[in-house]
Amino acid sequence: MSPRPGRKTPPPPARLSYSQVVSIANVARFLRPADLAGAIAAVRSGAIPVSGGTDVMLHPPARPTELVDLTALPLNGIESYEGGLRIGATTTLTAMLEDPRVAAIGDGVVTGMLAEVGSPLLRNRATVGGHLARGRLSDVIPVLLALDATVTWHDGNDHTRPLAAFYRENRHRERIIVTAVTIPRPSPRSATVFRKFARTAFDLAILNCACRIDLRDGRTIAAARIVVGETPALGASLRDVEVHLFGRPLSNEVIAAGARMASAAVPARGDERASAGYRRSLAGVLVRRCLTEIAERIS
Amino acid sequence: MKITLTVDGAPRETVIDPGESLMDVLRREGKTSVKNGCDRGDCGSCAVLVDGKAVNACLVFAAQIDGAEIRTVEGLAGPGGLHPLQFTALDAGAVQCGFCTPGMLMTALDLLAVNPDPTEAEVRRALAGSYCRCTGYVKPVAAILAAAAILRGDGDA
Repeated sequence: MSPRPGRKTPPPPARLSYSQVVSIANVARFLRPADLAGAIAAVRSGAIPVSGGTDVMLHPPARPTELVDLTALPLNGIESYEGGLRIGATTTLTAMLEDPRVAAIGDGVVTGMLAEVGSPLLRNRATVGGHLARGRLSDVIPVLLALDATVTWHDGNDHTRPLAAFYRENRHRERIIVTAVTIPRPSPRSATVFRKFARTAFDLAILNCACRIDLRDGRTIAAARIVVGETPALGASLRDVEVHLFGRPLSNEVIAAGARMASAAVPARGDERASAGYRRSLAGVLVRRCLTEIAERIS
Repeated sequence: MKITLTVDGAPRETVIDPGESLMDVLRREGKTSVKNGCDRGDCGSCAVLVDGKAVNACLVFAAQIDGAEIRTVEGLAGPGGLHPLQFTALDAGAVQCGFCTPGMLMTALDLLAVNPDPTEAEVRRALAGSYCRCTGYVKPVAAILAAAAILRGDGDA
C-alpha cells in the first residue's frame, strides 16, 4: 500500500542486520598450521587450540582471540600397542565408540559409557583430546581415571603423565596441546564398571561413578580405583575408599563400608540440578552398585 | 576468510567470518532447510552431513571444514523422486510442523549408512539429539524403520 501524498508515514522498521540475528564467536583469526610446531607456536602466543570445536563454540572467548585448528595435524586414529591402546587427540568419540579394540577394554566399559555421552550428532564431532583439554562435566574422564589412563601433551616438548596428575596439576589450563590419551589394558583379574545417574542418557550426569578392582589370588583386592564425580575437579579418586578396599575381599560388608566412606568423602557440590547432600547420598549408592556388579563379575 | 565447500554436490566458494558456524554459513548461502532451533547443539534441527557424518552444524566452525563435502536434506531427493526417508516420513505422518524434519532425516541417513538394519531401540538412540516438539517420536521412528526396510530391499515394507 503506497502512502497517500502529503501524509507523514512512520519510517519502516529497521531491518535486523545479519550480525544481529546470528551469533558469531569472538574469533580474530582461524589458523590452520600444517604441523605441531606451528600449532604450539600459536598456542604459546595465546591462541586457543580447537579440534571438533563443539565446546569452543558453546564457550567462546570473551574477547576476539586467535584459534588454531588441530584437525589438519596427524593426531587422529587409534593404535594398539603391547600394553593397551593409544588414541590420538583428534579422534572423535564416535570413532572410539565404533572401534572393536576400544570395546574389548574392561568388558566394554569405555564403549558403554561413550554410548551415553551427548548425542550421536555431538559424538560425531567432539574429540577425545578436546574433551580432556577443555575439562568440563564429563563421563569420559571418570572412566579413563579408573582405567589409569595417561595423557600426552605438547608444549614445545612432549610430556606424558597419568590423567589424574594432569588435572591435579591443572595442566589443562596451561598453554599446551593434548596429543593423545593412552588406555592400558587392565589385568585379566580385573573388572571396571561405570554408572551414570542422569534424567536421560543424553543429559549430563547428576553424578557418575567409575570403579576398577584388580584381584590377587582370585580373592584379595590388589588395586582399587574409585572415581566419583562429573567434573575433573571432583573426579579425583576417593583415596580413603581405595585404601579401605586394598587387601580385603570384595564382600558385601566391605562394599557397604566402602560406600559409606565414599558418601562421606566425596567433595560434592550443589547446583541447580541437585543439592550437595543429594549428591553425597548418591555417591554411596553408585559406589555400592558399581562394586556389587564388579563382585558378581569377577567372583 | 574464504572457504570452498561442496554443498549437495555443487562446489561453492564463500567468504566467512572466522567465528561463524556452518549453520549460519549454509543458511546465508540459501540452504534454509538447515534450521536454527537452539544454536547450542541440543535440538538437532541443523543436522547436516559433513564428509558423511551427521553433525550439529551450529557447533561446527565453518573455518575448520574448508574443502569438506556437505549434504543437506535439499539434496536428498534423486532424479527418480523423493528419498525413502522422505516419503516414509510423509506416509507415516511423521511430519507435522516440519521444523525438525530436515535435521532428523539427515541424522537418520547417517544411522542407516552405518547400520542398515537398526532395531527400534537403535533408531531411538540415534535420535537422542533430535528434538521434535509435535509428534512425540513414535511416527518418526516408524518412518525411519520403514525407510530402512525399503533401502535394504525387503519386499513390501
